[in-house]
Amino acid sequence: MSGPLLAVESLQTLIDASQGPVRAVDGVSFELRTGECFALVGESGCGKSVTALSIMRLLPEAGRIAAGRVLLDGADLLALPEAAMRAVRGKRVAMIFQEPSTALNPVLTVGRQIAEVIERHSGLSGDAARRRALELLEAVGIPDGARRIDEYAFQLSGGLRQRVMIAAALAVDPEVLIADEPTTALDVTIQAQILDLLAKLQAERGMALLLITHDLGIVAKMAQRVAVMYAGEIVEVAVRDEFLRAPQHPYSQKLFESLPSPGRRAGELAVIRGQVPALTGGFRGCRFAERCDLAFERCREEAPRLLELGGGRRARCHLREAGLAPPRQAELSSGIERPEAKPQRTLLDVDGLKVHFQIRRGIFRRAVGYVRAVDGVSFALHEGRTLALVGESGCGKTTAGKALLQLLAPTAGSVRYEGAELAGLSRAAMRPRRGAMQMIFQDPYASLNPRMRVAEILLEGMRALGVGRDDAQREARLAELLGEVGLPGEALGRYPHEFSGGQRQRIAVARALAVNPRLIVCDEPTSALDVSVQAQILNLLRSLQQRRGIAYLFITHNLSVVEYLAHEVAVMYLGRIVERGTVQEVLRDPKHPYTQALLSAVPTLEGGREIIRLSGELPSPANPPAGCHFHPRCPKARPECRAAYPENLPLGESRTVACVLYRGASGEGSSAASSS
Amino acid sequence: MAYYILKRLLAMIPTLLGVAVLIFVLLRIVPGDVVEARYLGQGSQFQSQELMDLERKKLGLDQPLWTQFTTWMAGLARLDFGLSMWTGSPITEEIKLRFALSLQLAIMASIFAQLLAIPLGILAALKQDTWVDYAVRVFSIAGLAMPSFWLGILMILTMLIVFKWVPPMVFTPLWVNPWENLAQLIWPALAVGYRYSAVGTRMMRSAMLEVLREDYIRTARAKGLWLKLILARHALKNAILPVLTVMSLEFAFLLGGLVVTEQVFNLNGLGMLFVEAIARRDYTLTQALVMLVATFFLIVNFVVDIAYAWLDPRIRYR
Repeated sequence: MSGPLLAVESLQTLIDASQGPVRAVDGVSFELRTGECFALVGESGCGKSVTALSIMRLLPEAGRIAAGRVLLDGADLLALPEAAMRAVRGKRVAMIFQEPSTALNPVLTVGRQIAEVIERHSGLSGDAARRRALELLEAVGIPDGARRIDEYAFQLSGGLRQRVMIAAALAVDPEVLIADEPTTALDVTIQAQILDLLAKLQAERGMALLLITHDLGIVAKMAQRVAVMYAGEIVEVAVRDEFLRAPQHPYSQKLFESLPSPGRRAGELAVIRGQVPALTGGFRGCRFAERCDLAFERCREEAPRLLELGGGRRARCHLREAGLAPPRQAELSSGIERPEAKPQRTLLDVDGLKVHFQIRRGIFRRAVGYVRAVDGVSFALHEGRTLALVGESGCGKTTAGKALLQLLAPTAGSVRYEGAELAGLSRAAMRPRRGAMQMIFQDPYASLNPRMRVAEILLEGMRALGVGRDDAQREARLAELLGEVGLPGEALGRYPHEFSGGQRQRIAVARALAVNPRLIVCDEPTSALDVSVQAQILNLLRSLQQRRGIAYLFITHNLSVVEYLAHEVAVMYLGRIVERGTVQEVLRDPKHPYTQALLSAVPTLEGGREIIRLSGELPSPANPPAGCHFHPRCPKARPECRAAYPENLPLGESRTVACVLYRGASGEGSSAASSS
Repeated sequence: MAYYILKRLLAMIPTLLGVAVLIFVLLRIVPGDVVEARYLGQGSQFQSQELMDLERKKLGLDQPLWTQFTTWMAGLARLDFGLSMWTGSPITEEIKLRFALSLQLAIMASIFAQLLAIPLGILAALKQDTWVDYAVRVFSIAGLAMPSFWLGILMILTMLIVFKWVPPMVFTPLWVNPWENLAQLIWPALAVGYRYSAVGTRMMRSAMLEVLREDYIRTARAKGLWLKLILARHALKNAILPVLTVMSLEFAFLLGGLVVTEQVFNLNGLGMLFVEAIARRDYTLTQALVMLVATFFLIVNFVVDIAYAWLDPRIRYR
């Protein structure tokens, strides 16, 4: 063994900002060995992506490398002239990025974008390069490559685009592949496919993989060794299994504890108080001290070194010195169920809800078809309970949420709020009911008006819906509202951009609460947030439900959040609910093959679970497959699945599943079936 | 694609019809007609009403409006523009030479402008916030600020004073004597093209800056591609689209809008003809000119749309 393949030594990268240079990467060192997968883990802003871009020397204009070395086989990449570096990029070190839809050039064919790497680095050209590109498309599992090679990125789904990115990156067999959050923009079943592909290609080609991710589940699945980054520094390095068993740094421990999981249903999720410190100034003590529960005097006085703990473990913490405190075990238990309260009375009853969008073509805008975004969805929402609507992107879950609030006009079906029909109400008639039903959106950066102060944001809804007698009375409530979502009163006079993502989402929650809703539709409220911040928002939502008895319709693709927060689950696929039941029923014992595949695809810390691989991609809701929509991808499909969409079979009190496999098992059988 | 082109061509007809109605009505709302313009304009107050009526009858101005309109339309359908109300000669003859001159000038100015705008815009974007960028920006702002006729005057004076030479003042068609023709038209083309390039330069610069920040440019760099290839293949094809739109609109304007510049260089182009036709209330000639320029606008737009589809597959495959 002749030393590491890639060694990063005391790398320091500065990003110029208006407040002065930000020390985005501040003395990072690690090693990547031939053929291994090394994961760099951390939350947004910790410097993991900047580290990757520094290695590639692809920093944005404002960034510069201030110190350090990046040794590839002993030669310092930072010392190379730009022309020599160009020969390294793509040839010896390749990189794939998070968002495959923007990372591919929209006006060049897929084949062109792969072939250009081959032409640049291997001397092949023209037809030879094209043939090689075709082989690569096959190697990354793109069906019908001969046709795809002349297509453009916009004609491909997200998963296929990422496969194209991988094909281009691996075109000339690089020694190192840097993957920066390669599956964050993808659905779980597609994520599972891409991770499998990366693992397979890595093993086949014996290349080293530097995997940058925020997802500990992905680390558990992919990495051999792990480094955790916080505030521009590496705080812990360890072999995967030991890291998962017993993380050494308090920050790593907190990351594990803030993961929502069924074992934590009973209590609150751990949160990390405060925020990541600004990286513009200097630090005297430990960067995590202000947020650390275990911090003591020395932590604030003296910056800890990265201590060798033996066996390749390292941690940047005073506590690890001379065994000041025993490392806590990462808790991986799963089981204890919270006793479920009896179902409360029904708040909202949705029956056969359909939302179809017309596709119009030609000069006369004729309707040539329909996108059946929501196609016959029924569920009930009970007071003080949470129903999770789960599915991958494009399954119609957000459309369903908007349609039941009448933000979109349903095509058919009924939505009854406390028995009163909402579907088809005029705007004016809907208005007095709006107060009872609110919505929280996914992206707190886009959903709050940047020109309005927090106080105005909160008051606007109250005024519009006539909450409170006059402004004086309304304003009196503002501080109380902010207190309820855990923000200081002085926040009222500030603008949204002055807050972090988590705080903004709190403002969005306060805005919804301001009009005293009985029901809130939460549309992926934590998917734009880091895990530790996600934990804060989930805790907040949970406690508000307990205090105020609000019902949530929780729209999400994140199954661990569902496990933590929801009482009931409805799984959607291509506009229809395929399975419905309580959380325990559906997540512990999924019946529908799609639910089973979805659950198995989520990377977990325990690992070892057999993944049910779904072939292919989500079909278009404009042209769903005949019969059961899922049958072309279903590992258990039978001939009759092609014939007709299966009816909803009741399995027990609260549970239904739409799958022919359970026709015999169902109690009442077709008597309760709703035809579709 | 053929269907798309046919569809776009057919869609021009209603637009042109709308333009025809509009210009027909607008011209007749303005007080006075060609007969008054001719006789009263000469300062003579003593023209008899009978004589004027007779003149109007001869020109068909006594007919009801809708008859005048349908007659005009029937002519247009046969590509017969009729006679000029002022000179009495066929409009096709009146326009032919001037159109050749204006079109040639527009094309030359446009070529010059592209040659200037695209490289300068790219250069400024690449060297953003350096002296190169500032120099390009000053150059292009000067182009926007300076009227082309003024630049034209400066050019003529410079040539006269420094080189003791003046460009030919009589138009020679390209096919008669190319050298003489170019010696005359190159100067107005430069004067107009400079201003025209300024718009393109600024557009090219900002479009390029935007594209250079895109993720796919970073991907291309991560592949180790040469800068030239990244610019030519990845950046330019995306950045050129908005430039194309702006430049084409300007191009169509050049055809009929260069009134003062034509005067400075003593060019007998469409711009001058347009002003004269309107001043003389020469309905038939004005209408024909408006239809000509409108058709030209539509064709340029059409060509740009085809170019868009060619450059951007997202439009092509819709």
